[in-house]
Amino acid sequence: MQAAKNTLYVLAVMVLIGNPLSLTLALLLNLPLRSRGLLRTLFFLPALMSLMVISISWGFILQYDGLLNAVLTLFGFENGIQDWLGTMDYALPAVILILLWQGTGFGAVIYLAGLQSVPRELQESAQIDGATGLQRIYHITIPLIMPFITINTFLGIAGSLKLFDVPFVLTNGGPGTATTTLGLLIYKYAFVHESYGYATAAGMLFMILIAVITFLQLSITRRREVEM
Amino acid sequence: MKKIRIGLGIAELVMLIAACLFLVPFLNVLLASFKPSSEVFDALHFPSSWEFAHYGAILGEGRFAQSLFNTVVITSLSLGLVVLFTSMAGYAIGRSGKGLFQIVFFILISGMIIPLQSTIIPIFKLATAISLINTRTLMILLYTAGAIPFATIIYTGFVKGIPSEMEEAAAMEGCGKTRTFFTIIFPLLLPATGTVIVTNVFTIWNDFFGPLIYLYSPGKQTLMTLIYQFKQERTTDWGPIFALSVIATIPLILLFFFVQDKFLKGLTAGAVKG
Repeated sequence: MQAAKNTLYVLAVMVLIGNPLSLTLALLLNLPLRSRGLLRTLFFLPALMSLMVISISWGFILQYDGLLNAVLTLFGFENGIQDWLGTMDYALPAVILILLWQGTGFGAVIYLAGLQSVPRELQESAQIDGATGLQRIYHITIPLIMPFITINTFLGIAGSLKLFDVPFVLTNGGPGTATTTLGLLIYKYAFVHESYGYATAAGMLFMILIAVITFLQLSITRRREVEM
Repeated sequence: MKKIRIGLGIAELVMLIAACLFLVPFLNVLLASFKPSSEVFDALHFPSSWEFAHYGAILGEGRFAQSLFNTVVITSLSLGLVVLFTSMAGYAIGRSGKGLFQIVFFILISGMIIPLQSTIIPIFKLATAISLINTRTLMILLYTAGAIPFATIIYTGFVKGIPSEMEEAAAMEGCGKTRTFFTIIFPLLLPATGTVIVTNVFTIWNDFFGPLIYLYSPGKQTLMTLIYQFKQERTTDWGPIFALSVIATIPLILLFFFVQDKFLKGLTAGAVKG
């Protein structure tokens, strides 16, 4: 049960925070900056790295004698020092932080393609009619890039439901069951406890869960897509 | 107008700083891989002397060469098979996309929605039954199967955009279907092939779950499972782990710089269609 709760928690954060974060980054990258191409590449790089290498890198930052605590000490926040991955309260947020770090650039690149497909004339005529920047984003950009929102939400959901590598390498689901996800649970039943029947049953339920959630999501976001 | 330009300049500066901060986790590892062992955990300082000892340790390790070989072989053969099968499938479906072929197409793409974890036990049992468990062949077959749905979509879409006059001309000259495909169609599909390769190479190279489960003997490890094993073996000596992580990542980053336009285009085209 804890595993299902953790997985849904990750899913909620990835969709509700990760998605707007990607969109914001995409909007920033869509500004007429000189180093746009370079910036896009830099933010995209984490998406190329394997979750294995990412887990190693972040483990090195978050562990007790890692970079984060060193920086906190440097600025005099000794009280804030934590064993980030070994504490019940912080382990799962740490895992989510890592996922956000990896996924934001990827999502932004997809949104960027969407933003570039929005006709400039629409933006300009809205501007002449006196719409502010935020109004333009809300009433013009977002409806027009709805297909991209659909796909990014879908990828976010699929990614968080399947989450395995990061908690497996960093915390092995711990401390306790604080970072155990459904994917990890199934793996443990199959290869640690060797109860194949249970693992297969959990796998089937898992598949149904994914099918239901993605169906719901697709029917919600698809309905809001508009034709030009 | 001038105000806007200054605003943009500031935005640009902020974004560049943000991007550098964003890459700190990787830069941190990169730096640590050059530090002498005694300084690896001294996170805030640059190495007092740049050393290649950790890289030397990795290159001198027999298992490294073996797992690099495994990773390269598995990745390249999987990609080869994917291209071979899905280009032909995409051609058949794209040219006569009705009836039977349409059904085949739906069966192929329905593979996209089945999550990996649901199939571990069935695949494990099946592979044991046909003696493919713990073989690189199994991994190649699994990756090929995994990439088929998306690659078929890409090829099918692309084939539909190729005019069929050339095939008709070839048929008149007495050129058979197979030969037409390989001498005329396949070269024309090159952009699609590029997209299929670049969108899959990273996934296969980086996969950890598959080799962890299906390739358990040491000689068959890929780079990702080797990193994991290093991590299990060395609880204090992290230098070589970092060096190995860097070595396993650099080829991908280099490749990305060469193919990034194609990659990003393929990614977004595929994402929106799918």
